[in-house]
Amino acid sequence: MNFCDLTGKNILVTGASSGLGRATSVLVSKLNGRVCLIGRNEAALDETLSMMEGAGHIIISIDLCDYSRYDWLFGAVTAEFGMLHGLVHFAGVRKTLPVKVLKTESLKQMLEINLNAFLELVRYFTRKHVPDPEGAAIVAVSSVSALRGAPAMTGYACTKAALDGAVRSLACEMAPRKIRVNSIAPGHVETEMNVAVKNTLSVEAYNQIIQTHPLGTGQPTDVANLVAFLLSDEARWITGTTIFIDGGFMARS
Amino acid sequence: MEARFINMLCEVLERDLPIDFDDSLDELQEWDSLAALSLISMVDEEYGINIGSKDFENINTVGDIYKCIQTKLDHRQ
Repeated sequence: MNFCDLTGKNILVTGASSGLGRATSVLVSKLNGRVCLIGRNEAALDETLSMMEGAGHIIISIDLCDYSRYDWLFGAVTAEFGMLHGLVHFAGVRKTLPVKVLKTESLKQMLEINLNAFLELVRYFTRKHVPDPEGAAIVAVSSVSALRGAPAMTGYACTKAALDGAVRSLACEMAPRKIRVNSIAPGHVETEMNVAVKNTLSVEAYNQIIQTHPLGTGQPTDVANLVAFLLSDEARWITGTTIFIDGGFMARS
Repeated sequence: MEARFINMLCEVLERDLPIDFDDSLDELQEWDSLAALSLISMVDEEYGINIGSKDFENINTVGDIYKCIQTKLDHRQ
């Protein structure tokens, strides 16, 4: 068996239509895992699927803020896949809002998808007969923003810090059932969304971002590698922690 | 649209004095990087368009910001 082999593992990936979710779905498929791609944009999910290897992957197009559909979602996935082995929640919203313009409606929108959807997914994922009793892994996607302050990131940082807090308690609660729960905290990764942001920035402004990362900015595949490891049996002794993947961003004072 | 924009800017700057399109941003006491960020966020929320730092290279007055928003809105149509 190869290192991080995911043969026989059924993994749910939200936010699979682009960026980190897409890169992770592709990598999981290359490691022989089967993926349920979840997102809102069916055409983009189809594109992700076209980049994947192996067979048996499924696409479910759903608005993750409509929690009333989760019962149907998990019914459909388990009917197709049987027991599940992994859940990765990439879907999220990042709004850059100075506190002066951080209205409760914007905060609510971020909380709904970044935090509440994750907890609701976990609630369904951990129901009896859903996860494999031999072991399963949950990965939440936090951010360096949870621990490092920056102007206009208050709302987003709150949602990510809350995720990290949730992961610690969930890990303790789920350990007896062999379900590991971790979060990853990426720095600046060159996703499609961030490349679009880069195009609106001056060279000077973008260089400032790069300079905060000693190893430079990351690629989606860098993050996918870590997630695949956390989903694999090789990470069997890792739970309740947040792993930074940030090119050294957090190492700077 | 003009009135809406001026109201938005007044809210961002918490300015009691009137604001004119000819006002230079450098001369507005309340204008700083956080005010710029607040305005960018508000414009994104209100109009769904992105003003980046590249745009600000050509912005000197209040009217320039308005023109920038207007141009982006026109291109979207």
